Amino acid sequence: MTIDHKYGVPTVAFHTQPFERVVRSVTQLNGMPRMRQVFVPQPVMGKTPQQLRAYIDGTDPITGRPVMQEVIEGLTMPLDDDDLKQITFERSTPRLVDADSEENLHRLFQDNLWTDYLPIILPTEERVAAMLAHTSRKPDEVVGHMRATHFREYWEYTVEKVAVNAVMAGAKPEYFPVILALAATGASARAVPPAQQRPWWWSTDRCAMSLA
Amino acid sequence: MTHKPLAPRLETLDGKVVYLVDCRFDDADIFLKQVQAWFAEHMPGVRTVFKPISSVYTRDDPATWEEIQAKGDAAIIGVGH
Repeated sequence: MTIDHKYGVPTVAFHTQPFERVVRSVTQLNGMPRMRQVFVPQPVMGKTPQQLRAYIDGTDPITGRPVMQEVIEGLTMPLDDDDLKQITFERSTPRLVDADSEENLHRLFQDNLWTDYLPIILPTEERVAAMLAHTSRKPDEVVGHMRATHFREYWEYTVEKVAVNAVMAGAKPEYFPVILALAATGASARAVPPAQQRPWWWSTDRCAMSLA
Repeated sequence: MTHKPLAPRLETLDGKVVYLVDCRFDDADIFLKQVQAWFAEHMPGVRTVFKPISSVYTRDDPATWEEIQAKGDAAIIGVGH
């Protein structure tokens, strides 16, 4: 993306098919939803030169169009109105879902990818309230920001959202101060905030004290 | 979110220099060399330059981008994810 936008060099990027959703998300969140992308099958690793040549001579598994035709067009077709218009992005979601059976709600969470497919406890209002009772922080107070990888946007989350996640993970309400403190570090399993964005209470013992 | 416009596209690739940028995922180099072979066979008027990035894909590589900006007309990057 950098070389196309910042350095003014028309660019096409190759990706493998399973990463289409991630790639589209990253380019959109970085302000370049129309970045020219061409997809080939996965894997690339371990394939022979002949097999990789077959990818190149074949079709894009997402669009069904010839791979190299997409490459050539990506570098030479003039930008159109969609490329030039400003973009907006709305990501808000309702605070509550409609009442339903336990089975259907579990399915709803899975279908929306709100879980990692491990078993969850459904975060009812009562369970979340019980979790929130163990902190003096307000439910709508922003706890921190976290991102899955260096290429993704930061997610902002409130005390209530941390409580929802704690319920889903099966935590006891009395654990909540520690969970809240950990959430406030901004660290995820795959990324920690850069040094300049870490709060002053970055060390674990101090953040636990500050948020309990 | 700030919209970042794409670079203007070329009228043609004929006579142009296209950098094939290896982002150094496993075997991306083999893949891009097949792209290079495709151009040699089908579009011999295009000059391709195979160029691995300086480090790993998670790090910005301004030296490489500046080289491509100065010496190239277009870029093909692969294979990301």
